This record gives sequence, structure tokens and C-alpha cells, in this order.
Amino acid sequence: MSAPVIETRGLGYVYNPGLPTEKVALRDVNLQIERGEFVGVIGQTGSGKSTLIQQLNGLLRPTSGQVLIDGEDIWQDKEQLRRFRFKVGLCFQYPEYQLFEESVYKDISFGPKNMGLSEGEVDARVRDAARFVGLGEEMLDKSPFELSGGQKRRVAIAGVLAMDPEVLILDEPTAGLDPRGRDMILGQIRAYHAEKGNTVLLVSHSMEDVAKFATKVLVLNDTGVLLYGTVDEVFSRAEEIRAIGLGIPQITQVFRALRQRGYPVSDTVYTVAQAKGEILRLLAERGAAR
Amino acid sequence: MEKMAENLLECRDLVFRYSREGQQGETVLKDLSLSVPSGQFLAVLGHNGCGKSTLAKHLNGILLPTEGTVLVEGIDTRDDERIFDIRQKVGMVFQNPDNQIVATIVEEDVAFAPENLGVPPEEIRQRVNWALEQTGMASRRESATYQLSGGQKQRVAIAGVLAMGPDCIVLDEPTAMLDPHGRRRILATLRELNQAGMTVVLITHYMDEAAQADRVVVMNDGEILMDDSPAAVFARVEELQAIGLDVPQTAELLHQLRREGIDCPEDALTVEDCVEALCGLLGGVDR
Repeated sequence: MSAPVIETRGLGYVYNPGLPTEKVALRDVNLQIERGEFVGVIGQTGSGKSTLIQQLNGLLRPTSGQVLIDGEDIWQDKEQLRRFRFKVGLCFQYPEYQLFEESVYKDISFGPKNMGLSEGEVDARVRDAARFVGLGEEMLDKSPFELSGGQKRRVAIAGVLAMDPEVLILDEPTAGLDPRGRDMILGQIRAYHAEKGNTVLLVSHSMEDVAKFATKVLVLNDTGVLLYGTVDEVFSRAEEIRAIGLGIPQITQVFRALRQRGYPVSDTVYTVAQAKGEILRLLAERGAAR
Repeated sequence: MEKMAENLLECRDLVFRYSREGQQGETVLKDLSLSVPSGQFLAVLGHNGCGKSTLAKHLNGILLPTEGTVLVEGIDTRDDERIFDIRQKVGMVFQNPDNQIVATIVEEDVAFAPENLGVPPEEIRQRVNWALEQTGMASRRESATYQLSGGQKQRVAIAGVLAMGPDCIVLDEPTAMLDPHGRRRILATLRELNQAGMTVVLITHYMDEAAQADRVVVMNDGEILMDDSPAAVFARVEELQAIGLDVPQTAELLHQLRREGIDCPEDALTVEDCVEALCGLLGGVDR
């Protein structure tokens, strides 16, 4: 049996320990994420999401406990930390502010170059990553600053994909985009996950998106993990999710209300397509009964 | 409410073109006409690049029309002499909360505009108190602004605009960078302000936010595509999707059922309305 790709043991993190501004961000987090999952990470602002993802590639050092990637403690040997940064690719919120190179090509190649790959390998990585995010060849020589906001965002994501990380973590990659831009980026991430089969963690505030794209859901609340399980398992616990100020998909709320009124409908409906199927099934059964 | 239908904002045949180094650029607003009566809560919807932010910037003279006219309470925004009156009547709130905070302490930030307007200190105090009450930020008045969450900063930004004593507040995607909790608080604040008589223009691409307005204008490619009540706009599911906008899941479900030839209402925007519609459709519960 192989080790989970991500594991935390008693992970805790305190900002500014000993100062008046001391703040506990994570407390005794024990988490195991299996290889190949697409995990939606949800939680209110201040629940510890950002702190947790920064622990996973060693940007923050635990004040207690351990972070293990592929079964290895990433802080065991500080010299080796860099290796884990390549394994766990982290794409921050509003990554377009981090573009700095003079061309799209150079910006995307920054990561793989730092990994010490050959020029040919770097080139292949850049082109592959650009393809995943739908940036055509003609875009590669442009200055990133000539691009639209949505295009810049995709360049930044490509920069992380080009490192071909085992674990890809995206912190709200669609924040501030309109629905068209959002669907494009999420579709590309899904295609990337399907083709590469690696592990993806997607931080999102949209329950609809999480229900649509993720295989597992991680719910954080007040410095720790509230729930971790499949989409069905997590969204079936609507009361707990609502109690911490998060919502469940609108259509799921409708179907839960229908069930409460006694209609024999599924309570694991997250998408309009599923909902339509359920209603049509019910109407057909009722028609046949009459 | 129903004051006399005096238009607080009026755009007549508004055309706007960005010009760059004397070259004529793209036409962003194409002959757009829009009147906003005093006291209305208007939502303007559209995808990125449809011109909605450009329109917002015309409403208090940040941008001036290439052709046509924009009037704020009857004052032409091209009137240089009156631009400060206009800015005082129409306050703007932008997307990024971090770009709008000027002071390090909440109450100082909110006092910034009235101080600059030369309001007497006693009145500044009253205005700041009132603005902080209105936005639910009174308990944080002495907090450092950098310690606030995005949603709190955005409410401070709104309070700062309120302290100026405007008749209208225009918000350009104020919730795009906020979490759901922050978004709900902002919308609740806007609804309360509107109920107290403030004219609100909310630029957004969130349908659930637009659903709470009195009126929804949908923009596409520099033009007004729809202008109606939220229910009437959201019933036009296919047209909205065709221009890259989202439709609430409830509206889409009912729309899809109608396409299957099932008779159900089109305009159920909320979860409750949708549940009622489906119960009506399914009939009684079998036991």
C-alpha cells in the first residue's frame, strides 16, 4: 500500500507566537489525501485554508506537528525542502500580479528552468503547459502585460503546470473572473487532472463548482478540518456546513426541501442535469401510476 | 418610496471610445441611453469587457462621454465647474478593497472625504458615526484598516463614500474579491441603504446579487440588451447563457423542464419559489 500523497500529523501553526498579535491559524490537523484525488477545499475566510496550503509546500514551517509528502517529512532535512517545492505546485490567488518576465514563454519557463531541466525539456514543458491553458503559439512571444486579465491568469497557472507537480494547489483560480472565464479555467484544470492523473487541490468559495469538479471535499473551520469526504458525504451534512456560514449548491437545497416534504427524490443532486433527470423520472412514475 | 420620477442619473445617446496617442480606439459604449430614477436599486450585469465598468465611470465624471450626454441630477458631467458637486452626489466603490483605503485607522479613513470637503468637525463626527452604523462597522472604528478582512474593508470603503453624503452610490463589482459571507453582508448593507432612500447602482456578474435589485440592465458589447425586472430578465435563460452569463440553477432547471414540454413557471428565482413550482408540478405526496 502506498503512502497518501499528502499527510499532516498533528499539524499546528501559530502566527507571531509570543507577540500581542499571536494568532492560532491551525490546530492539530490530521489529514490524509490519496493520490489522484481532485479535492475541493472550502471554508470561510480565516478558517485556515491559506495557512494550510502554504504548509503543504513548505512556505510556512509548522509550529507543531508534521507535513508529509509521499510519506516523507518535508522539514526533515532543510536542504531537501526545494525538492518538495517542485513536487507541490502552488498557485496563489490573483497570480497574474506575479508575472514578471518579458515574454509569456519566459514566464512559463521560469519554474522548469529552476528545476535544472535541459533546454529541450523546458521547451516541451512550456508548450505543454500553454496548451493546457489554451494559450496559442502566437501568444508565447508576447509580453504578459499586453494580455487581458483572464489571459494573464492563465499564463500564471501555466507557469505552475510547467513544473509538472505531483500535487497542484490552486487558491481560488477563478476569483474575480466572469462566468465565461471561470468555466474556461476550471475546464482546463479538469482536463489537466484527467490527463495527468495527479492530485489537485482547488480552493473555492463556489459550492456549485466544487460539486461539479471535485471528487473529494475538504471543509475547514476555525483552525481545523470539519469534514473530509466525497462530495456526497460532505454535502449530505448540510446543517453542519450551513452552521459555519457556508452554503450548499442552490439546486441541492431545492431537492432537500422536496425530500422534507415527502417526495421520493435523491438528496445527492448537485447539478441542473441531475435535477432535471430526477424530476422527469418522478413525473414518469406518477404518470404510470395514474 | 415612490418619489416623483425625477431621474437622478441620465445617460443620453452615450458613446465612449478610448483614444490612444491620438488614434481612435475601440468603441466601448455604443449609443447607450439609460435613466435611473431617484431611490432605485439598479443592477447592471454583463461579462468582462461588455462596457459595464466604463459606464460606471461615466456616472460621476471619472470618464467623460465621447458623444452624447451624462446628467447627474440635471448637471452635465462635462461641466468642469460642477465636477466636485457631481462627485459628492455620486459616490463610487471599486472592486479591490485594498485600493480604496487611505488611512490606517477605520474612523480616520471614513472621515477622509468630509474632512476634505471642509465639513465642521462636529458634523464629521456625526457623519462618521452614522456611516459606520449603516455599514455595521461601528465596533471596528478604532481598528487598523490593514487588519480587516476584504469584506470589512469594502464596508469601510462604502462608509467612506456615505460620509460624503451622496444621493447615489455606484459600486463596480464590489464583491468580486470577497467570500460568500462578505458578499452577503455587502448586499444586506446595500439593501438597507436603498430602503433608507439611497439610489444604488450595482455593477456585478453575480446573478444572485442582481436578483435582489428593483431593476436589472444586461449589457453586452457596449449596448443594453435587456432592461427589466429581475424575474423577467432571468426567464431569458438562453440569451443570458449565449452572452456568457450564469443563470441561477433554479431558473435553469425550470427552463430545461419547460423545454421538455412541461408546464411550469419561468421566473422562480429563489430556492423557495423553485420548491413551490416543483411541488405544484409533482402534485400531492404519495404515501
